[in-house]
Amino acid sequence: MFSARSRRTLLKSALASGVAPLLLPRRLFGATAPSNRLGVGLVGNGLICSSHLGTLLGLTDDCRILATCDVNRAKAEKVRARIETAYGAEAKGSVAVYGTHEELLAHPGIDVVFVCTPDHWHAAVSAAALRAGKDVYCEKPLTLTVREGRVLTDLARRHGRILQTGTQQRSNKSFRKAAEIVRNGWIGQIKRVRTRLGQFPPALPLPEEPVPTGFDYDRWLGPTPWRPYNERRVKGDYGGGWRCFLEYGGRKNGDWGAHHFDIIQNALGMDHSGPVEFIPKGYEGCRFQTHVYANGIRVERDDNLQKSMIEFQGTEGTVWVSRDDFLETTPPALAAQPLRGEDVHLYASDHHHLDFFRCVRTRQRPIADVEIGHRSATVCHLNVIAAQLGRPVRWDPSAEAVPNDPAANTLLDRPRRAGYAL
Amino acid sequence: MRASSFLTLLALLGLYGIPTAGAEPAAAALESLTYSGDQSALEALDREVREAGRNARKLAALEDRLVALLRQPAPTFAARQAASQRLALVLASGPGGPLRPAAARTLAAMLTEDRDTDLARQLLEVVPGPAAERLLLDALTKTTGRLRLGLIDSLGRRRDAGAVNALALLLADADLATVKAAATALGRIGTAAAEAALRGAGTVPLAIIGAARLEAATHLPATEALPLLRALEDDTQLPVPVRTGAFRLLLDREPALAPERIREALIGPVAPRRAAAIEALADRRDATHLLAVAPLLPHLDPVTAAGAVAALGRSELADAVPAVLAATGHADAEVRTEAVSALGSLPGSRAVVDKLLELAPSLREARQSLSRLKGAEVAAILLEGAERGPEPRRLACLEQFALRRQTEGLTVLRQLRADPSAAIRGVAAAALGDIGPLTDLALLTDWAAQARDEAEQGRTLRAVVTLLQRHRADPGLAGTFFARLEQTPPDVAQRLLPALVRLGTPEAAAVAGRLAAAADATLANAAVETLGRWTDTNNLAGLAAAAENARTPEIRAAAVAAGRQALERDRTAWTPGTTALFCRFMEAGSKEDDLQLLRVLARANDPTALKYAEGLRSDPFLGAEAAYVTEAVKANLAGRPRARASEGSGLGNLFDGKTNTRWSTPALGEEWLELDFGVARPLRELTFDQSGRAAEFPEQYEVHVTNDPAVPGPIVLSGKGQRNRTVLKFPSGTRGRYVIVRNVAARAETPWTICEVLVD
Repeated sequence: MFSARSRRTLLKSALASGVAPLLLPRRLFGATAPSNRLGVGLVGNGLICSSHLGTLLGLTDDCRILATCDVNRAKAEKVRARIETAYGAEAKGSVAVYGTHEELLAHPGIDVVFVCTPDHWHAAVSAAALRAGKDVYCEKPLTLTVREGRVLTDLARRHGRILQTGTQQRSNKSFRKAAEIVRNGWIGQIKRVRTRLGQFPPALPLPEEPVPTGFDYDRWLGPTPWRPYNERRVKGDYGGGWRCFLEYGGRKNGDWGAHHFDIIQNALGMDHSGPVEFIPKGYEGCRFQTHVYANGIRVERDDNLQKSMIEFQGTEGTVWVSRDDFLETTPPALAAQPLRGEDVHLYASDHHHLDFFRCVRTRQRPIADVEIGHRSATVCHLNVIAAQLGRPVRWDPSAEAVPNDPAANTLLDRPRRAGYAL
Repeated sequence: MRASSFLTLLALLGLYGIPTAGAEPAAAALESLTYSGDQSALEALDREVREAGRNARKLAALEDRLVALLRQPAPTFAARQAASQRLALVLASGPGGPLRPAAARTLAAMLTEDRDTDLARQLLEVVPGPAAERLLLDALTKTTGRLRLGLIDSLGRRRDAGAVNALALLLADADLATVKAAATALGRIGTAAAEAALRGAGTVPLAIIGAARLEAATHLPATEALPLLRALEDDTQLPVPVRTGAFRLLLDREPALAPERIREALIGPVAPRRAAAIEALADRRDATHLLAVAPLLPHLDPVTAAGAVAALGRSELADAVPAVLAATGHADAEVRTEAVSALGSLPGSRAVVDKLLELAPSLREARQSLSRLKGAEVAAILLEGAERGPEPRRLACLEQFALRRQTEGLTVLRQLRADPSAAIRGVAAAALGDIGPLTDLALLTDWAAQARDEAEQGRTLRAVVTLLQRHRADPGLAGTFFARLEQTPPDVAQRLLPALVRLGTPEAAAVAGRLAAAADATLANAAVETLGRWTDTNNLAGLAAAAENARTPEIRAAAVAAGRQALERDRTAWTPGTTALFCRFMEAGSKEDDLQLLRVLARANDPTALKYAEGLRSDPFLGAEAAYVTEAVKANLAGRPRARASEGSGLGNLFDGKTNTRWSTPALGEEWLELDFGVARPLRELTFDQSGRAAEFPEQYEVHVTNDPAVPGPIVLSGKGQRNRTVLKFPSGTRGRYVIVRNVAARAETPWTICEVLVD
């Protein structure tokens, strides 16, 4: 992981070594203040927000957190305390706390919004931020439904906003290298890709419990169907909690699938397209959940895959890649083999947050641009839909529709409770 | 039920949030379904829905049943919710005819009831045709508040043109939320009538109306959309995001005017408009638009210029090169740097290569751009530049041979071994290691052996290692190098020794072990030092051999000490092989060495280790330690410890031998962890490895050691955890079967995490 250093530290050490660093553009369009840091608002103050905080609080030359928001007041207050402690005594009282994202968006000085809520709120918060003229960093998967992704893409383009999807694996050199090996044909034609997503516990029946004081449970539910409160339903837990329930996310398809399907899309050059068929596990003997691209490449979800998180099988070799910079290939030399000038070089980012900030300033598409995030999330959603229907679902990535299948098409979006329109 | 059906059933249930239950099927009716009770009636329904498929008769029967349920007042909300969700699927799967009267009547009644309105509304959203729209419209006039907001949203989602009049009336409502919802819905409907209603809504806040009219513009034909968009763009009373959105849409809808609009925006005074113009350039990648921007660069403010340069770079257009090249001389540092980065994406030419080579010695981004620069003449320019010219330029070219895998330069690289400049020689050797074939191993080895310049020697040694690692699939290649190493004169061998550590293999360690027995004391010492720098335990066999074959006591002691340190550092699983190596060190070491070594054996868990320790119990010098080790090994042989905790997930990860798995629990100040060793055992240290989660130590721990977890006894240790590893050092004589660790202080921002528990 990139060790974020302040701009001043970077400049100092670089000048000492006689080598000038890349000076990232720091000034904002129209800003005149001497310290043109981006004003940040955080929506959703759970586990993943804590991870982003650790990064953002270290990027003091690039950004300043001005406001935070959560439906659980206590969580929001804890996050505020952590931020103000990190910024020092003079920052006490400088961070605003809100219970709704609408209030946060109205806070003066917010340039970018980090959306760290559960999946079912990603689209609504992101859409509101885009309409309000903010740039957005939205956690993965970008959306809960296929239609939400198209809405966000159209909104971002219409308002000229920058949206980065939180698929930070794209900013990892090993995953990038794996994708470049595949894209440059170094392992020949790809026939099959396997990926391991893991399993969540089943979504169990849960008895009703009293809603804790200070927790706006109705708002937490948002557009999703009403269910009685239970702490295990709303818990943000990487091993379970709300992630177990399809009302709020795609279970492992949406959780790890959002990362690995995204890398596979990138490697196969499908960032603006997608597969054409989704086959659920068990259908007519199909051993694995599978999606198939138009060129015949099959992507299989094999949760018993041992060696790596993703495996690309080509006619002339194999690539295995995982987090913690695990990358192996056959032939072995490919993993460290540099690209030639004429080879396909993929977008290089080594720090997902800094890439986002840079693109906010230069108004360029970031590495996990909204359309890319939408297309990758679509792969997650269609796998879920195929499993729901118990049969294959065909997909037209150009039209973004399921041909001749009204039942499947109705599942491309979900109804929303009154008061929680997108 | 087939496995596939069962899995589908599970998935289908999951979507609608009614989870499967592990209980046996009961006779509970669907009508009395609850969220936490027996789910068998719902499971049966889902089976029926799935099995109905697209069979019209079965779907009709299901529709009738579900509608009948919804018509009754008695069924629970859970039942009504589940029924309406399944009914939506049934209707969607059916032949798609008009809504049947019974369903329509039932849904109409539900739409106006607070409890059921969402259920009915969401169902009707997926039902095509005018009947559904009539129901929604009819309910609209009978409802207020939250119910009405939902109906407005549904009409908007359906884009029901027939709802325009009713929605227009709501623009004058006293409730702002209603006004906003109605405006939004009209925008989504986006007919001329809808837009006219929005335009005429004089009392509605401009921000709301503006956003809605912008949405409407996306649906209208060009003849109506264009005047609307122009009006929105020019209306200074509208919020900036609306005006900017209008500007962007006009770029799409009037492409012929886009270049001029973009140009005006870029040089104009409105910052958000400039930002949108830059983003539009990125969207378009249109040569006409982009090249129209190029002449403006010197006149733009730095922020806009940097964005424009980035857009030009991403265009990959050859015609953008002159402007971007010129921008590398911009007065503003950020514009210059952005231009250097952009050059790497544009077609390469001599001018581009020359500029990047000029900047490469001092600018990392120039080297990165060069490494990915495409162009037929780039390779030739770099080849030429490597052989002659100023040294900084030559060095930059040579570096690019490796970065660009420019194997056309191999001959040049080999020839540069004779270059008068040590810096050139060093870079050439490094590049040869990066891209050379395995046949270059002998050349590089000679090169390293004969290098007199320290930096050059370092680089050539690294090149040897790089080449060996790149070709590690060739089984004999490393052996060639090792044979060469063992046959060269001692002073040469000594210079080549660092390569062994970098290779790090057991074979490399064996070579070092043999060299540690060399007659030349300097070489022997250097070989032992080399073995001591290994980063894993591949060096243990080599060190054991060095200890056994050492020609002097000093070298023997150094080898034994290095072996002990390696064993202490290593926390991978102890094996019988480790015991065998341990015994070799013990045999070679002095009594003082042995006492320190013996402590490590307490980690062993094999019978050989136990027998060895027992055999030392009568030794007057080692006996006490051997007794401790004997008890510890017996406890290890009892099996992997078990763990319980108050909370958290991942207990099985505490003793799995992996540091990329973990147990973690929120640090609330009341959590505990209990480790059960199976038998009472002596304890010196427990280490909680937090690998990679440095700050997730226990905030304030208290430790009990006991043979009865119900009676923890006094606190034997307390303290604050440490970053990366928290080490619990027990008082002398501590023994027990259970260790209970409590975290008694809360910490909001990070949990308490343990990746691995290490026992000593």
